[in-house]
Amino acid sequence: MSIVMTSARDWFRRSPGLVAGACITVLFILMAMISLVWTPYDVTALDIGARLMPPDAAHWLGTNHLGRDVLSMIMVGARISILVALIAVGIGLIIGVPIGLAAAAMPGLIDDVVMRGSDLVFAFPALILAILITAVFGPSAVNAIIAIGVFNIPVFARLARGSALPIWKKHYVLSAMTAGKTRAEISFEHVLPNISHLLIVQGTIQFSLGILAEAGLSYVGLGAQPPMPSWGRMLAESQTMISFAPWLALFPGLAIFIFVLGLNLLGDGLRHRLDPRNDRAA
Amino acid sequence: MEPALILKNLSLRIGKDLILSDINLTLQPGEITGLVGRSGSGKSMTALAIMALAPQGAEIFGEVLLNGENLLEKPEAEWCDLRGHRIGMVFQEPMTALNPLQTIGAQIAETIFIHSDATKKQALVQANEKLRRVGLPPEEISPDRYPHELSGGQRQRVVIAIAIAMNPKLLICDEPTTALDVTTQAEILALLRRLSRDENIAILLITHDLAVISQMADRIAVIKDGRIVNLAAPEAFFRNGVSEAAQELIATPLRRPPQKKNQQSRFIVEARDVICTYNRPEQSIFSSTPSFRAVDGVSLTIHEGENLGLVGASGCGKSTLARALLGLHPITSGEILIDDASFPVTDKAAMRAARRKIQIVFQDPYSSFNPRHKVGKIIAEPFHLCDQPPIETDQHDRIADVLEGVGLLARDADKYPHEFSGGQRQRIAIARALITDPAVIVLDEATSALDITARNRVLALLQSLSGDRRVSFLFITHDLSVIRDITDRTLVMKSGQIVEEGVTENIFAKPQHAYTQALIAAAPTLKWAPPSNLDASDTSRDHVD
Repeated sequence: MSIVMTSARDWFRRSPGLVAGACITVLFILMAMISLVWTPYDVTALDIGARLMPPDAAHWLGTNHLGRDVLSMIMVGARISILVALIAVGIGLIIGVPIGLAAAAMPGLIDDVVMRGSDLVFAFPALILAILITAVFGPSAVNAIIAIGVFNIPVFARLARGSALPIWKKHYVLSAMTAGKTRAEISFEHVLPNISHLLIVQGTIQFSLGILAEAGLSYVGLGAQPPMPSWGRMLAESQTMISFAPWLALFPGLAIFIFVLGLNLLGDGLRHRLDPRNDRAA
Repeated sequence: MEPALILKNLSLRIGKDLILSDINLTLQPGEITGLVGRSGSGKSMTALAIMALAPQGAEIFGEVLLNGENLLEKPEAEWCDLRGHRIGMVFQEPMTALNPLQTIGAQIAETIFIHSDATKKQALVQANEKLRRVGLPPEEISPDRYPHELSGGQRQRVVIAIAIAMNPKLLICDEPTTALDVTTQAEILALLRRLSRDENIAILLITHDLAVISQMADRIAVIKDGRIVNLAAPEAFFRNGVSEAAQELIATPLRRPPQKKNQQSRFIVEARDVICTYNRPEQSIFSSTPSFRAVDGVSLTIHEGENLGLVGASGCGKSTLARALLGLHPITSGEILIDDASFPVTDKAAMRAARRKIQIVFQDPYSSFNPRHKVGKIIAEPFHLCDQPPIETDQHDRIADVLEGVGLLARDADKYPHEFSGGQRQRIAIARALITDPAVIVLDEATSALDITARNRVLALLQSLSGDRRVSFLFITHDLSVIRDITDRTLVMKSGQIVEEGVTENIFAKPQHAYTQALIAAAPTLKWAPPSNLDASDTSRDHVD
């Protein structure tokens, strides 16, 4: 495993995007974790005296119309964004990948049913379905997770099926069949490990899409509910005050932008590094 | 006459590795120069260096002289004109060399259009002429066909037509017939010889097959470790005794053990009227799916301890038959018995018991193993078939045993497959097949991807295994030399049916069916009898693979 021994500088030289993306991602995750134990100010407390303060030494990123500290809200908001996106990706992986593997392992009826089913989900506009779910179950972070997660299922099912099909043509899979392994055993022992790099890359991409989707849902008021801060709602609330308090829109917007950019850089870098064709270390 | 191309002290280095060193070669018009060597000897790199297609980071030294000009000093822009215009190239795999989305006529016309002043219409007319030159007259094979509508041999003719479209004086052919079966190979070789004689083209024919070279070449160059170690006209080449480097390129006949088989021994595998079908793509969603009979009523028997050969051209259904025998492809009708028990069956225990008795070694040593598993785990996989898999330490001993049995080391179990050469990987595949002590091992083109030296060693190993153990082998191949060297009995397959069956020696001496006769006649043979010097019991580990 010469990858492990390669120095950080070497990594940076070979894939600067990957290193930059990883740093940004780690930074945001750290920020979210710190917010669990400490934030500069309490994000639920009102402080009308300090309302709409521009960025200064006391409030680095300023305060909103209720006197809440924007930096603290962004830190806590990162938590909900990451949580929603992570669980949504998890739902996609845990349900979608086995479905895709099953479709690849059993061509014919199961394959057709699974793929037409995912076509159906794809055909639905994501936001409409999310509104539908929240209209039925009420707006909350949990329902946002479900809505976003449902859309990840066909993404991972298709990817798993598509990348598993060529593996099923490999001779080592045929050898495993002559060794009496069942299709399920082969799927988990031979197919899954050989498509995992693709799933990791897609997971990163879906994670960033999840961040965006969560921001979008809470922007229209269907995500996490007040007083829990979220980036999307911060943007929505800043809208009417953008002419005299532009920092209220600027900083949550930047947070979304930089985090999504970082995740995309990470995903792209991973795609490049994990692609066996680019693997000089193996 | 002025030489078509001169290589002077051509060397090529990638990083610290010297891939080619001081290659000196002169190609004369109308002459075929054979460049022969093992895989990795540098023969393809020589071709790429001449075409300035060497991989990035390669440093090239020396001179490549075409009409007195050193090509190595030319800028890339001029190269685009030289390639295709004055030097034609034919690659091994005709399917990937052609654009699947363009008609063959258009692909030839494109070359003419780029390199000459012809209009598109004129180029298309000329393309028809080129097709005629390579034996694909437009009246029979329409230039409006797409590559997938042609056979492998026809595709290779199209590739050659593109290569000679601009009447180059030099043609470089890199393993032009390796992907083709013997009868097609003979036709393509005849075409190349005709082009060389009639049109005075200098041909550099690169191959690992000394038999092909001995029939084709006017001069033979043997390349080893990036150096030309032997360069002579064929008569002199073979008369003076073959150098050690050339010796290892010859498919040495094995020392055959005495015929021990009594035909009374019992059948271990019996197939009766087996039919396997494939579904063709649907024409429309309303019509029924058309099907294609890949195996059409085949009956065969494999005796205990016998080496049976199954030979046929690619696409004749022999691999499908192999998969059916292993229960990997469903049979539409007919019956397969393994050790007198019907196969495949739905009962899981009976199925596992049957599978223990029949194992397979595949052709491609690169896709045969999960790249993420260690060799020990790969070999142990068939233990899954045992009702009570042996305990860990026993497994360990068995793995060490089979590894040593196939000429590898016990500690190789802790390595990954990519650490081994092609020949060594096939040994690993054989070890995996052996671990459950099967009665039959099916070898599906198991030596076709190996170079001659590795092939000889793997066959010698199989020979000795069949002597030591009571295991039968079914050799499925298009390579007649494998059949001749190692099998007791041979089946000839054509279009899904067995057309001839008999004792191997008789089939080669007196082939009855016209197809068998054509197959044997087309197989290239060395114009010289090599001594039988490879000991059949030599299963020593091949370090050099």
